[in-house]
Amino acid sequence: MGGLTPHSLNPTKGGYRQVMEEMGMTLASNLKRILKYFLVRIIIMAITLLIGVYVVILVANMGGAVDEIRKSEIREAVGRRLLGDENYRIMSSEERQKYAKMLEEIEFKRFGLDQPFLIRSFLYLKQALTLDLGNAERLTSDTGSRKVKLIILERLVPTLVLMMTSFLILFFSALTFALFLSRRYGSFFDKMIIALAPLSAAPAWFYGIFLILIFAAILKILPFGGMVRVPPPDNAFEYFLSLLRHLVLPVFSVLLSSIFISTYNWRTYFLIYSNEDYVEMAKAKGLSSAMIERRYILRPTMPAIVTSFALSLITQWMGSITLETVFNWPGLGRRIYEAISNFDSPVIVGANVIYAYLLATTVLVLDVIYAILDPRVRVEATGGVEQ
Amino acid sequence: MVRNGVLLDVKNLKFYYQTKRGIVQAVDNISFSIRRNSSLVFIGESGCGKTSLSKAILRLLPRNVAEYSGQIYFDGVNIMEYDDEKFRREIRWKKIAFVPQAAMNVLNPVLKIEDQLAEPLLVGGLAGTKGEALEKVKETLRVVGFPLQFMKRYPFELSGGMRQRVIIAMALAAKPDLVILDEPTSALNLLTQANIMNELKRIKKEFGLTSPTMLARPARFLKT
Amino acid sequence: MSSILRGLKEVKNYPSAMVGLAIIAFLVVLSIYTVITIPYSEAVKLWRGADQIWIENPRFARPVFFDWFTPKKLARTIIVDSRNNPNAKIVNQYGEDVEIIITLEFDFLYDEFPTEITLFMNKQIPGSDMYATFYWETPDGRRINLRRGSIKTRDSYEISQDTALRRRLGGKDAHIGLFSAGDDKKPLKGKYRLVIEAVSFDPEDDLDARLIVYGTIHGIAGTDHLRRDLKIALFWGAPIALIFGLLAAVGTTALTMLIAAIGVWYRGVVDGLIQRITEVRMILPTLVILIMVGMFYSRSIWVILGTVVVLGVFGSGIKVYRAMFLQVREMPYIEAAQAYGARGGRIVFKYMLPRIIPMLIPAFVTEVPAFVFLEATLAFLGISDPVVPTWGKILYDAQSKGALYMGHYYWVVIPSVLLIITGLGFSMLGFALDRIFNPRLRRM
Repeated sequence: MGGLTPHSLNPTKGGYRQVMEEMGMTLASNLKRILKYFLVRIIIMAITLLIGVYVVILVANMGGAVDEIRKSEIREAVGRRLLGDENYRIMSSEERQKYAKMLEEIEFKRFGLDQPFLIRSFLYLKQALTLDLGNAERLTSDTGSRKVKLIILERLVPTLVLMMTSFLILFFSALTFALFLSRRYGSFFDKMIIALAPLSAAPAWFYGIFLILIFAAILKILPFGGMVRVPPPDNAFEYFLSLLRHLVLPVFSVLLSSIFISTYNWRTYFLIYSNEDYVEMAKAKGLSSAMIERRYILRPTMPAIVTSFALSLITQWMGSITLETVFNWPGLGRRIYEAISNFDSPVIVGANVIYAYLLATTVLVLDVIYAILDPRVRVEATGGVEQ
Repeated sequence: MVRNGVLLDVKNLKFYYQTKRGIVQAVDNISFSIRRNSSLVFIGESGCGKTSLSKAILRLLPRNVAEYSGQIYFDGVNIMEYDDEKFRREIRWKKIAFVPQAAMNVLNPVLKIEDQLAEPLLVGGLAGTKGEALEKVKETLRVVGFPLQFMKRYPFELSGGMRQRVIIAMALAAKPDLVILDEPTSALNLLTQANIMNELKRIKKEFGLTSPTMLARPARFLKT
Repeated sequence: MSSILRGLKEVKNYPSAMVGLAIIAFLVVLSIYTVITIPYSEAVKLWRGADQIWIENPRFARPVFFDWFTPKKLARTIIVDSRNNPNAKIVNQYGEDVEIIITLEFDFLYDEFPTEITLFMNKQIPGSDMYATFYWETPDGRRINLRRGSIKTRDSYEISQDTALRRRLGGKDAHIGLFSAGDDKKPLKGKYRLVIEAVSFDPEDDLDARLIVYGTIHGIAGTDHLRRDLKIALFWGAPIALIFGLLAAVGTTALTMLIAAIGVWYRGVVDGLIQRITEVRMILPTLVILIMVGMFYSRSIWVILGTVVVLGVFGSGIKVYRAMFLQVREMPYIEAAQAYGARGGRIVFKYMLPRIIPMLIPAFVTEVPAFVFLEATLAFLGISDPVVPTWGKILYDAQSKGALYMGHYYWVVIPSVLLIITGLGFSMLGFALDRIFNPRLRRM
């Protein structure tokens, strides 16, 4: 007796579906309000992004790195033009140098590179915001292009595959288990999660190394790395199986690092929130445990969960850099590692800008989900009563 | 069901709970009975166990229960012997409803008022659809004086007085036999308090309710 | 203050916290020991590995304790130096010529083949003509010709790399062929000799030789690709990790708290500005910015530490502290302080900050491993102070040399274990402290 009565392992089996349905209904009935909120948030996020990318430019141009990137780009372009210039061919070496330099100076002026730093920085800002990120020094894309934008973005999909898989498994497992534990305060599993939570001290890539050691090097049952087997299978089904096989260790690394602490945090949230007055009221109203859990504990905590989510996703974006390096996963992260090893400055600067965009998008999406879940936010932000 | 017979008969009710510093005997061997269509008022200083008594009757027990025993006869049946599920399905809200002390945090912040009003009716099988439930609820809302256009609002958009009315309406909507009111006005200002007390008197007359009321200040007793 | 002390005393009720404390104590002791026995400048010099400091170590050697776990006797490095052994050298004068015969003798009693054999020679007179024949004598009486040729002033004869010798040994590398008697799985045990018969046309000339038969195990932690004894970096990794982690945690926590307090107290524009900065900071990719700073500016550990703190200050912590301070600001004693004319600064420092400190303690302790691993992550990716030996650096080296593929597991496992126990030590303590000091958790 007392508290929420013990339940089967998965009382919210229909629960997630119902929460999603309710979310959908909230969305439908408040569409106008939510769209308005979305618009407001996009504008704010755009400004934030602008400032953020500007900071990136400022930091990047320490020692004039961005200047150098642009200048060498121009030099290369001039050099290519000169190859086709007839006058150039007949000049002596000294004359050539002078001529090339003159052309370069003209181009520098044309692109505003002779302006004071403040103006130059805004120029760079405009270029960065439109993802005109220049050419790489050493790296090339799979298609042979030297454009930094392509070099980085062509790797986006593999990273998304890895991130989404680990994120979804992490989210739903931790949430379910946390709900389960919140009903069993002080039980064996509860104590186990508290004991295992400190494992979050180590990042995913660290566990990755150990998992490779055990499962790939010693036991030889899982691959060392990569996304699919080499050479890749030609039929879709086998490709998918190979992908799954290669996903096991990286995803498991993410779980080892994050699942215990996520479960622990949310179980704590649920315990705290189940002490709220309205939960007791719901019990007095004769609602079932499952319904109380879904509508009176899960639903009100969702906004807080979404916030901790945004942070967790941001951590995953950053964590994927090293994780992909360890597992040789062909995503954004490994590209950055290649850029570091090759000392390819343009790619690194470009990566900063692209990641700023990715993080901004993530935060924006989560903001809107938060608004769907928490009426206080969307009513306050857009003023007035909902209909 | 005798018209003016005994509705609730509590015998030797004990409810103790465990704290770090020892056991608190919140309800210690209480016995009383209430006849149909009457009110019973409990007066006491804060902390004397009035709220605990309300919760003990409704079996709203915390995690740290140390003892819970006695007999509670509702309409002649000892509901203490019901298992939790039966108690929930048959007694809560349909037979015994509860109006808690502070209306501040008693409503779910993320659900609209109309949803929370309809809930117990839908769950208790007293209405088939949300529409039906809301129809039943509207009458009660009229009685408590809650403007119907506010039904689509969220709790945080209502004042304290409004919230209290909603809660009272919510309690009455399932037409329970017994309503327990726990300091129904202590969280409100004096003017609203007077209003609510008048409403309660009127409601009691209209609905033919039986209600034990928990109050803190003896002044209330005189008015009721 | 007393409540903080009371809380700290409660720590002994939590076994996980006690384990954490034990680990931290171990690390502190290790750090102090390291700093005293291997001074920093010494460690840096050693780790740079210039001037063949490590030449007497084998490459990729496993730690010595591996020997305790197998019945086989694992091979240690054998060094025979003619300078240490006057009997090894016989010098004969023949008029204008001098003949020097050096016999380097040693017992080989291991169950494993050595990994490398190198002979280092020092000739007395630079530029002179010295010509020598090299022989190898096995315990079962065989004599194998190694090489014939002239000797330079500082000469090293890498016997294992001698391709001609390998051919003569039937395709076997010298460090195996010279030690086997037909059976390639086990070396022949017994007395071995390397004989140098050298002749020089300068009567004053002299020769010294040092034979190194490299083993498979070395030291308490093994060696890496540059023959460096890993214990240098493993031991020094401890104080570096502790200092980096603690400084970063203290710096970040203190500054975040201060800025949150200032924002809450002065309200309005100041508070709004701080919030906006936090929002911008949220979309900045921390790790990539650190990489950029490291690549373009400086990889010095102090620069990295500073950048980490600056980035950490406006992070998500500010929201938490701001919420806490907002609560405190409404307290009556703050109003009272204002009433008697206290200035903002005084109120912030004397009234608001001390209320928050109990909740800071667990946050601060739990942040330390995050910073330790951040440094390790950067090092692993290749962005680290070129001079400072850290655990992350070792992992970077191991990864670039394919340690896991090549079976050099110790190279990865030992620094990883040190990293994880450091992380766990602080983490376990931090979690227990959270359960003690967090008011919301106490209610349960």
